[in-house]
Amino acid sequence: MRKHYYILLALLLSTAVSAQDRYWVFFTDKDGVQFDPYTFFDGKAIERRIKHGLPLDDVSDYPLNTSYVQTVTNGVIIITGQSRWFNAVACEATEAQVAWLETLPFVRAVRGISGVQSQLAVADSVEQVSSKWTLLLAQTKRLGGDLFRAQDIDGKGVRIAIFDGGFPAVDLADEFKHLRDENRIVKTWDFVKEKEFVYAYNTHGTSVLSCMAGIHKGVPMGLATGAEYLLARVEKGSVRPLEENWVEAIEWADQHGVDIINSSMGYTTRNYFIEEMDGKTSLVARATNRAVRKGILFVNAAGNLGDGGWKIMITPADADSVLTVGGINPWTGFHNTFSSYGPTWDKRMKPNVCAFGDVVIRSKKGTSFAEGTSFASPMVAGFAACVLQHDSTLKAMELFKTIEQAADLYPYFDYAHGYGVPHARNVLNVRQAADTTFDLITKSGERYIKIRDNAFCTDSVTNWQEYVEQDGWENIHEVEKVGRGLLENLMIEEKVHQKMPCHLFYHIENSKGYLDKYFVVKVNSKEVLILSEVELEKGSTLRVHYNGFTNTYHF
Amino acid sequence: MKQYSALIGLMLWATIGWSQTILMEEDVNEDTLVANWGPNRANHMYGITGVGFVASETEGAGGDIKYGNSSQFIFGYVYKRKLAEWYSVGLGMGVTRTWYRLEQDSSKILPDTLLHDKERLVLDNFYGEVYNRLSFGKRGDYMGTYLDFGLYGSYKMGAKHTFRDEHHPPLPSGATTTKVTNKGMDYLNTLNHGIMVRFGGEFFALYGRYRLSDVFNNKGAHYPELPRLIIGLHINTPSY
Repeated sequence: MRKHYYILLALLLSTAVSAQDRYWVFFTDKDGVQFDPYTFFDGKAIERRIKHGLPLDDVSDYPLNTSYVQTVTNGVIIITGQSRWFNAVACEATEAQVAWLETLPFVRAVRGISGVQSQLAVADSVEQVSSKWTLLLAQTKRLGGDLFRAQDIDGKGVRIAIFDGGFPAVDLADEFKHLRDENRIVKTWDFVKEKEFVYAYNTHGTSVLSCMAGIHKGVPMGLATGAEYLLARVEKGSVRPLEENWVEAIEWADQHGVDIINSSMGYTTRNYFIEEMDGKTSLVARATNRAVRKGILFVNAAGNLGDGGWKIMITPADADSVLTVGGINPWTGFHNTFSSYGPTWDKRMKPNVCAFGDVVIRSKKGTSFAEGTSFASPMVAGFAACVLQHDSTLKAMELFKTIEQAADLYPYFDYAHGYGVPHARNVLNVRQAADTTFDLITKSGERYIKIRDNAFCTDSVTNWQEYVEQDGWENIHEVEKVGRGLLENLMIEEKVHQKMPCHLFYHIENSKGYLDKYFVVKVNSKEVLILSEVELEKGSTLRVHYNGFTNTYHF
Repeated sequence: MKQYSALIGLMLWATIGWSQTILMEEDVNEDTLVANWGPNRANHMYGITGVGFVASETEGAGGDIKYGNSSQFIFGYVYKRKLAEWYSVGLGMGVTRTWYRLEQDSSKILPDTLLHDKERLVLDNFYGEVYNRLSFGKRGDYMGTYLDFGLYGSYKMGAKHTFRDEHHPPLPSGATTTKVTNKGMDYLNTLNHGIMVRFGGEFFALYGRYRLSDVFNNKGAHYPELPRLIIGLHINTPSY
């Protein structure tokens, strides 16, 4: 009988051993710590601080008090990371050790660390409805990449960090040869294994980098082929990645002078509740906001949970200063069903902008189709690099606003597209006020949009087969005989949308300032039913966008 | 007349409706409701399916069992009510089938002294349980790591005593094997109870059940008590 109790006891003890967890230990001060910004920071980090009017000698950049760190090190299982910005160390500790930590006079707080991270991408899963070349050319053209390139704008002089799970083949693949030849991968660090080598592990980072910097057989895969890069491996894929790696990587990127950080990852259900997606709760959201305050534009994928139970964006895409990027389907021209929606839990607009969620990427094995907001995000990060090269005086939040204002739905927005897809023409040229394309009319208690004759357009040719039939070609192979160039041009112009399609976008904003409902409507005639009177509450706002023109109606 | 007007109005509306196709419609307020059900919400329910093994000895001589072969199948549902981030209470119910495969040796007295090639007692129970749950670590809407401990009670739905003998040479009937199943044994208790422990995560849990009551009633009081402890592993099936 006693023997059996031992077995039960062993079972219970095993739980006690497993009860150890990871914690942030926040210190009260940095008293007595020395700091020299000129030896610590890269020259570009100092330049950025000067540009943003930030002090070089900021206590948040000071190292931690070593005696505090040593005391904690002696009393916990292991130290797993540290943060200057948060004046904290990360550690593994038992609950008893946590109780001891909380008694230390220099410990301000002890908080649990988020454990498991989700990585965003579903590579090689896109149905091959279009040629690889078509999509490859279109994915940059949709953002006006051709206009940037015509002015020799490719992110030159801009430094970008990528946080991901690994970068296999970046040291070998032809798509990145120009980066290697010109020594434009300026720093690498594996925060998981704490070493420089990052050219292995998860291929997701390679794919993300290709969407900014890759060149496939002479065709740019992203917009920032001329930028400099820092590659940080911050997670092991889906196996217990570490929030502290993320925070350390941000500080590392700041130290080495990056202008832009792209992260195509984030945290969701395992770490947080949906109501914690408020940009304030998660440490990574707070860390990214802090990075922006130090002059770095932080670009993050919205997430791929739009068609799942979670549905809204991941963190840190919920942070107010993060440029959150959603995905659109190149063939329908609007929201990818998988792309996570906004708003944040405190009802701020997210995503901010969007780009193709289906792209051609370079993975470990070669080029292929892939889908995910993971790839929309670097497309926009590349766009940001081009904008910054075009106007290097822009501060981080000015750059953020410029990108939003360059998007093709702007000033219209919704929680699936943000302001739409940014385009180079809206950066390089002064944006002209759009002609009025519709009027709001009221008839029998219902509200209609009447599209003006000269503005009405259709998107009837959205299917390649239809195009073939309409133009009298017998089949696609006949077109191919004419030549790849013609085929590509036709398909890019007609099948893969090069601008937001002529759909009617409208939303209803309530008196509290956030959207209650929003719609995308395919218009088949010039008169479109919007809604009845009863659906518009007093104080609400109706905002409608059609064919480049947005109008706002207050009720 | 009013009816016709309404009909005409409806037809007109329908005509207008056909001139547009809603590609996307989102109701933000519906998307941002806080759920009451979920792995780390106020309420959670999920299924379990698993296998356990007898992990202790028979109490007394004459009823030794074969370890490894003596096992349990468990299927049930678990409900959890969260009271604090680290503490919940819950209920569970389900069915178990437990096989006790009996060693055949000269000391055997359970349920008789006859020796067979194979012999087993099979108990089918419906069970209910109440438990406490301690959860570890910060987590979102995710079960995380937990330790459950509580009490269970079971009702005997059925039981059988089965043995098999092989015959060489065959019996006069030509049979080489005979298999006999006895049911309706009156030496078994209908109700049982015990303590349960469960330690697990989102997908798997290690469980232990220790029976405090005796399997045999007064009529079977001379039998050695069957092993009380079962340890096993179950998977957690889709949750609500």
